[in-house]
Amino acid sequence: MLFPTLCSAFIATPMRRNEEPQSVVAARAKQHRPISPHLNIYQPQMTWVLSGLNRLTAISVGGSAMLYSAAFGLAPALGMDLSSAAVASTLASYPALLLVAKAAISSCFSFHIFSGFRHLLWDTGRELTNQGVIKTGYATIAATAVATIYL
Amino acid sequence: PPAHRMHGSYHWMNERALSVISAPIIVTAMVYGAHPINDMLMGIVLPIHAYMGFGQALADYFHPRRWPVVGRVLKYALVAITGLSMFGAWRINTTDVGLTNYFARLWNANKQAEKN
Repeated sequence: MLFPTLCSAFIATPMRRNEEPQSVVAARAKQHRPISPHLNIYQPQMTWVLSGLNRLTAISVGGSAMLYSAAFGLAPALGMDLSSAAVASTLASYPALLLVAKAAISSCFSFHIFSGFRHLLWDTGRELTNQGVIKTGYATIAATAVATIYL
Repeated sequence: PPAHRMHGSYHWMNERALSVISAPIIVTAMVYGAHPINDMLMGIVLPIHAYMGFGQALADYFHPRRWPVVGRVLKYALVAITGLSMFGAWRINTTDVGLTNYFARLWNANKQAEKN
């Protein structure tokens, strides 16, 4: 009991040494402490940007496709009509929306296909150098642009 | 957990095999058009490919070790949605015009309206 008394003579802290266990104090300090930057300072590079984009396009294209076909499977139970004629006539009345949707879908889809080719190319052991990665990365972006305009 | 080739190298092999198969399936659908066998393959291969891909994303972000409840719920939800989408693809192929034609009609909806 002598040590806490000596401490309080020099430091103006409340004497909690006997009231709170250190784990609680440490947990509270951890909650208030800021964390050092990690993802927000990672310089955008061909490697992780394209890889993240591959996953993002996969989830958006695959997710919408799966949800749409699942909805088609459930359509009679839900009372909705999703036959091709009905949906096509609905879409025809919103040409601008259709154009935007087509651009989004075709860019995401073609990017995912071409970066999928890139992964398979890596699986055969080719283009595993840094220059190879960069070269094929630009080829992917170019092919995506062409395919989007075509589709 | 005990080592199991289905979870390891066989999984990798199956995943690459499905991806490789998906490429000519899509290309024939775009170049040749509709074909019942191609549509049937699409309805089988693409949902499985998406299931494996989503499984990898799920394992990266919501691994059951760290997210015991959400991770398992999402895994079962993924299986359910994959099954439902394969069923929906089968319905499109049987009761409607087939996957390729269905997609073509939606894609060219405004051109069809102009023709009519």
